[in-house]
Amino acid sequence: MTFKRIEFKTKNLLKQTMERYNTRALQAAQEGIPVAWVTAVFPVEILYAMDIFPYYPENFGAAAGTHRRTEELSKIAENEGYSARVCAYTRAGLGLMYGFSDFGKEIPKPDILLPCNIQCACLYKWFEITAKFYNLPLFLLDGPQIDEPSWEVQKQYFIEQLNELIGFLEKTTRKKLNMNRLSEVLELSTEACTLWNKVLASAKTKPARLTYWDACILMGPIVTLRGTKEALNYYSELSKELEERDKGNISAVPGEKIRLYWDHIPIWPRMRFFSELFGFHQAAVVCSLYTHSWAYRFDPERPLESLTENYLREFVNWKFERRVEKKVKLMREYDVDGFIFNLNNSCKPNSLALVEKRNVITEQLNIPGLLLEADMCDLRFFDEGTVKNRVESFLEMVSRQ
Amino acid sequence: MSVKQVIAEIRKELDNFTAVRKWKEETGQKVIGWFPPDVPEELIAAAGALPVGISGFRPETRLAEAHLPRYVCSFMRGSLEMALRGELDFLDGVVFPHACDTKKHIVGLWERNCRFGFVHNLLFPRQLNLPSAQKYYRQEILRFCSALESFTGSKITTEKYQHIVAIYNQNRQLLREILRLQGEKQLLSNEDFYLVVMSSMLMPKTESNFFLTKLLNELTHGKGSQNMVPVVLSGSLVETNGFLKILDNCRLIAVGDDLYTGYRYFCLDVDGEDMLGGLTKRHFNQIPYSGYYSERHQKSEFLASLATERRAAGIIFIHLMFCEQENYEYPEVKQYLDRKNIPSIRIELDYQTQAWGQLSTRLQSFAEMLGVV
Repeated sequence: MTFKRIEFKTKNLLKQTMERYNTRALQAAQEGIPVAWVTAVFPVEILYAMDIFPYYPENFGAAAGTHRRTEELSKIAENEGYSARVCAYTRAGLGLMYGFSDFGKEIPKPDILLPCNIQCACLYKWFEITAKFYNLPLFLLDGPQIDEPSWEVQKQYFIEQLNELIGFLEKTTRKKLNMNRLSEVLELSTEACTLWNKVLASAKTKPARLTYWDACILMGPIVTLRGTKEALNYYSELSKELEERDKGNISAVPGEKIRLYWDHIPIWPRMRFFSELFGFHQAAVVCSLYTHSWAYRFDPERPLESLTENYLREFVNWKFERRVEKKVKLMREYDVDGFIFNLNNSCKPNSLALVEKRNVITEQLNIPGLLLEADMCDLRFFDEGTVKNRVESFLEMVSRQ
Repeated sequence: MSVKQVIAEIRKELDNFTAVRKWKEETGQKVIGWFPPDVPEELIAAAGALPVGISGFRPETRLAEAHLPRYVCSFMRGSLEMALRGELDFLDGVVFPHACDTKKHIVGLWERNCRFGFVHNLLFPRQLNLPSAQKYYRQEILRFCSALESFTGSKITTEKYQHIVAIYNQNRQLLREILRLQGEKQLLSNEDFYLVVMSSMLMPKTESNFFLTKLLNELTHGKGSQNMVPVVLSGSLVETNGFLKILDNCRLIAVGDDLYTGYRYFCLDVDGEDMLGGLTKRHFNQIPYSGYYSERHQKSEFLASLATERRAAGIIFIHLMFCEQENYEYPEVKQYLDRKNIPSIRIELDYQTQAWGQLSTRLQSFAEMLGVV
């Protein structure tokens, strides 16, 4: 394949930002900073405001996938009695814990575990197992679905839990939450999200200035560091670079002919394969609800309400119709010619109803959708030949339309 | 009348949902299906509708395949299949408790393809530790009540509720007594025992009480034997043939469980005097369940003490294939039981694709290990 992805000039800044984050994570214990394990959709702003270090073990899951370690780690977990059919992130994390060789070296050992179940029930189970294994305190932040006409009941419940969470954190870490500091963090977080969405929007132009494959790498700081100046700094620089790309009419996929939507998590170990496969066929994957998840807008005047309104309304927490609407909206905004849905056996919340959603969207937008079947990390559930054939015939079909 | 005859009568009532259809025809009222676990059926009944437990254990699925990926458990797959085939055509509505990711995300498929007049998402708290959980549970109950009332057009009055609760509590007491006798006399096969529990979900409770009373009478006077080895079953649910037949053939008898098609369904009565307080108390005192997080209720300890109390020789985990909640919990529970020297075995069940022969061999060896001769 001849396609080569165009590197970002701010590549080193991203690398440094993420390295600093990881180093701080590992050093936190020595510096007496409490480390909290959190899930991706968690009101992490509260932690930054309290100088508690939030670590995202999901990132480790994705990194294990990228570096093709999932299978090896999963086997350790499978030997302990976990099924190869549960979420690959959790299998990697459990494998690391039971295999213990790298634990505490590669990822920080938590002091407290703070799962939120808005995304799924798998991550909190993983955290629960870890909490029992190390005998550590855990706080489950429960985020019920909000598909009801009125979500006032759910909202009040979540706000009440945030108050309980703050009490729990103050008790376990002996740190006090300063509400002014929280408001500052919320502002920083909102700014970073705004910049991040500006970055993503540079794929709206034709040709797109960046692809989904780029965005999956560039999203590191918005996931881990939203609410900090580092995130803001990085996304300002990245945003400038994309403006330059725009001025110079630099296209992420030279000769872009096809524009596509990819739903949710990429297949981490084969990111390059996909990026090159689509690039070779002059197809730019320009958007995904996954990378667009971090679009929070907080009101620093009403911190807890605002955190609730943003986190509880995360796209995965809506019912079928609203989730379809959100996908369709993105597809329209980015003017795509087709879309790809992966039946990811690691992630039911995101893929259980995709067959149906494909049919609905195709009917609504009159564009084709491809269904793939592969795990996001575990290559035992990935058949390259089949995937390549299916993608190529799909692209052929899209270009004929 | 013998035990066998009562069972045969019950079976007849369940065949093609005869009891439910008959009730609907006679009363002209609405039937509302519910998925396990922990839907307060009392409220559905007090709103004038008939609550019916949905349990899809189809041996094969065809229509559901067009809607679901492979990794959905056979229970939810089979249930959707039944709905798509029109076998649940007597239902006017369905209640989905969001107790696992599959139930949470499958609702849209039911709404789009099955077109019931009433679909209610029961969003109970998934954590049972914090004060917020109890407060929120009460709010969810009130939201459920008003949704039911506006669908059936009938108010849930204190009087009606208390009347219903008395009938439902009696039903649970009868089931508990039958389970107790199972430990003593082993008069019912596993298959028949769980059929009896299931029957309570599939007919009006007054009718169920009639049959259970009759059955209990026979069991009380029946002469029991003790030639089967008692075991405890752990998991979410069990279907009434397949696996249980194998268990019968292996001469193992379930004398306790934590299933929601078993003990969980009838273990706790509810206080009729104070609706919100009573339902909350029951919900938060339930036996452990993998879908809820609670620091107080540990499944490992619960199962170990259940096995001891019921004098079970071992525990059989019957996990649904693709049920992540059960699986995540298992290694820790298993280690705990090992430390307590309680033998256990885990089998993964897929009601549509199960290789029953192989399963039978595994259970046979487990039975031999437990001392079945």
